[in-house]
Amino acid sequence: MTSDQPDPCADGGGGDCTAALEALYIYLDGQLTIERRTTIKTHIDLCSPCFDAFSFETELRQVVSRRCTDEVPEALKARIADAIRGELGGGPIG
Amino acid sequence: MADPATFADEAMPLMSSLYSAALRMTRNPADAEDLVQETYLKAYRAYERFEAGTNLKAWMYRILTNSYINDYRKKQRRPDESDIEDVEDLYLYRRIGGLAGATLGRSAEDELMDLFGEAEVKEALEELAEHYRLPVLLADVEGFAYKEIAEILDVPIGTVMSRLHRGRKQLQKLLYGFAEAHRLLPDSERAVVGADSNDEV
Repeated sequence: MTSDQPDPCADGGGGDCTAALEALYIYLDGQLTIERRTTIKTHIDLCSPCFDAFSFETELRQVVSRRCTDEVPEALKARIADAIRGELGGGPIG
Repeated sequence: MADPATFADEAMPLMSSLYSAALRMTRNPADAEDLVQETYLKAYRAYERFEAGTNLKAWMYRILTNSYINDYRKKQRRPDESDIEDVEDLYLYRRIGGLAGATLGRSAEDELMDLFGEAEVKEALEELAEHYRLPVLLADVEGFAYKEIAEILDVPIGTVMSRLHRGRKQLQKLLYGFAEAHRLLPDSERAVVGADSNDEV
């Protein structure tokens, strides 16, 4: 195992890899037009270097999202519920 | 128009995601709590103007973000490290792509979860300059679409996209730095960049 990943841009496919990688984030964000999405999906399904790069980015994003959760302190929940109740009753807010 | 009586039922379940976002924004639990409380009160007071059936989460995030920008950012005053150098595409993949999934029977996601713990990911995100941090947070942690992010941050969609692109690369570079500094990478992976760290072993 070396640290040198095959460069996914070593493009034998007439610019398809470059095009796919340029659109990588927009693809993962689900914001490409259906046509563009289909073109890229067709390419990455067949091109393993691109497929690996796309999979890696997908998994990394899941990890980032899963790692960024925080427990809400109970005291804060109570404080907010009280404050809203205070607003309801028209009383002063804590 | 939304019925105030439904506010608590609709808005309370969003609190943990809003609180996490507030923590990443303020980087300080006391400020994050105040920011979330302020967001809920403002939202409650404006709830009659919220159009029922539209995206409440995006609406609450707009209030959170505006409150943060108007009331907290000034307080924190951290110079916005303006555009730092550009990071190459696929920064992490090119360095550790072979590592993820290298162990038989483990998914690449498991490998990455081991490599980047909660502390590293949160720290890396909080390190990002703010104009990158907010879009990355809204897209990658909260899953908002470009258009929603553009509305929450009040910037054009093109700006959202370019900041996301650069912010994500910057985040990868920071993550790699943490993994390296915390000696989470096997020797073979570390040697590549180890040259500039002062090893004290």
